[in-house]
Amino acid sequence: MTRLFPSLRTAAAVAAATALLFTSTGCDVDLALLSGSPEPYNFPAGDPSDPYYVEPANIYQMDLQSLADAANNVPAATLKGLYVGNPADIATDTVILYLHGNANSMNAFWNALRHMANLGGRHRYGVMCYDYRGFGNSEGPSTGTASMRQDLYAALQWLKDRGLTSDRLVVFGNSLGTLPGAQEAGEQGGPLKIDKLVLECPQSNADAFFQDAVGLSVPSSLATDYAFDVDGNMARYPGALLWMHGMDDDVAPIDNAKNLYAAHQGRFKRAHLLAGVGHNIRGGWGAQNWGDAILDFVARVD
Amino acid sequence: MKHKNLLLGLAAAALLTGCNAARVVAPLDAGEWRVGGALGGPQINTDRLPLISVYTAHGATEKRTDYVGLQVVSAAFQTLHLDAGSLRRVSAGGGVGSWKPEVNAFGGGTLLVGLRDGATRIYPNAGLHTVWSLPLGFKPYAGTDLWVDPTYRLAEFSQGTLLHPNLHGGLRWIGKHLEAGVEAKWLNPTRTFMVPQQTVPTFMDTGARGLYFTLAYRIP
Repeated sequence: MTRLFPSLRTAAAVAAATALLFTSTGCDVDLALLSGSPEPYNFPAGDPSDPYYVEPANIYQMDLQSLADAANNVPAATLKGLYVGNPADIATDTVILYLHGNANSMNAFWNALRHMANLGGRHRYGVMCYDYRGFGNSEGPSTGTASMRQDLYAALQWLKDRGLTSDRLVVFGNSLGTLPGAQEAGEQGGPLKIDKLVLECPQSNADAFFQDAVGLSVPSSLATDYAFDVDGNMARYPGALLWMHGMDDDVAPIDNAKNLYAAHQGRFKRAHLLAGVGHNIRGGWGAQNWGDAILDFVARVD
Repeated sequence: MKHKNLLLGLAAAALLTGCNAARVVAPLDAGEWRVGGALGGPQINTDRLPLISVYTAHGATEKRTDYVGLQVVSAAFQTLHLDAGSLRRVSAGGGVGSWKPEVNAFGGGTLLVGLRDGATRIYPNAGLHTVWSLPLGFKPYAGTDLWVDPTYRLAEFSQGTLLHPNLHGGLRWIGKHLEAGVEAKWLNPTRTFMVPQQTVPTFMDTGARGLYFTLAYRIP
């Protein structure tokens, strides 16, 4: 019996340490998905001969107030936003709201933003982007579907307050940005309705995302509470959809994303499945092709 | 960004099929307890993920040893992750220095319980260790560990599979009070693993490869 004591003591110590671990840590995989880094913003206008040149007066940075969602334990936060265009024209312009992918901040997407602003002519479209909580210099952290929803609402409210109406809104989700974009397209609970949605290299749903990494039929809740569901939301979305995906994408597998396209039964949909292209659509397909596809979609479903 | 995204790799690795060193490769002495830990995991990019688990094993008879382990990293992700099983000698080896290995069969399972929502999974497994005995307590071994996914039909987009094999080889040193070991593993060669924004090195273009170190204290 006395021989048992050392192992019992060890087992008790292990149990205590494990209990402490359970109660004192809250590791969540969404920490990998939902956090950028603070950095100085840098949005250079470029050279006037540049096809994507932006007038310095049309680079407008603002603070957005993302409201609290007490029911989901989400506090209020101040976000950093960017509008490429003249905010005074929002009441009449078509505006592309760009939901960026997983990077430190919206700095990484400046070339795409200024390109979109110049699709079909110099400053033809207004383009808005913002950093989610925990990205760039926005207050953080992002914690999942609820905080991402509140942040998107803040951007939509800012646009609505300046006269934007739902019929002139295009929402563009890139990679991580497809999660809040598709979520709101399925829910339609925000200040503006989404009727034109672009999904660029979207994920499918949290379980598939995690199972690709693990290999077993494990639910994502074993590692995260961020239960995103792009394909489920696409099944509920009645508006127009443009889906662009590289067939060599090793971040968001195209075979998974095909399910969201199949699920969508809205008024219009178009897909560009790109051979030889990875997760960077604009770089892999070519900026011209990328811009043409967006321009065609926006014009076609207007 | 790189280290931030490794968090996903760590969580995935902790829950990967068979992502652990063998708890025991040969029966303990009857009545012996062994308390130990394992450190190591699959390679993600150029890093080896530091999965940590602890276990205890008990020699129920001269031929049978029971064991139970706890994956500590999974606990950090709010998941209870236990493995338990029993190892039994199938055939005795030829003794120290003999080419004839001892063959031991084992069977058991892994229990996962998510503390967020109570999601539960059980994955039975079974396998063999072939173990040779060398002088000075060294025991090289090789074997296989087959996992069964009874809920594979719950996998998204019909991408689940029933069987998940693993192959391993290693070396244990068993001293009077301590056991130490190193084990290399070819994890699930029937599929490729995709951890976003990370590279999972394969072996022969499939599966993943893991390396583990073990240390245990012997209590006679």
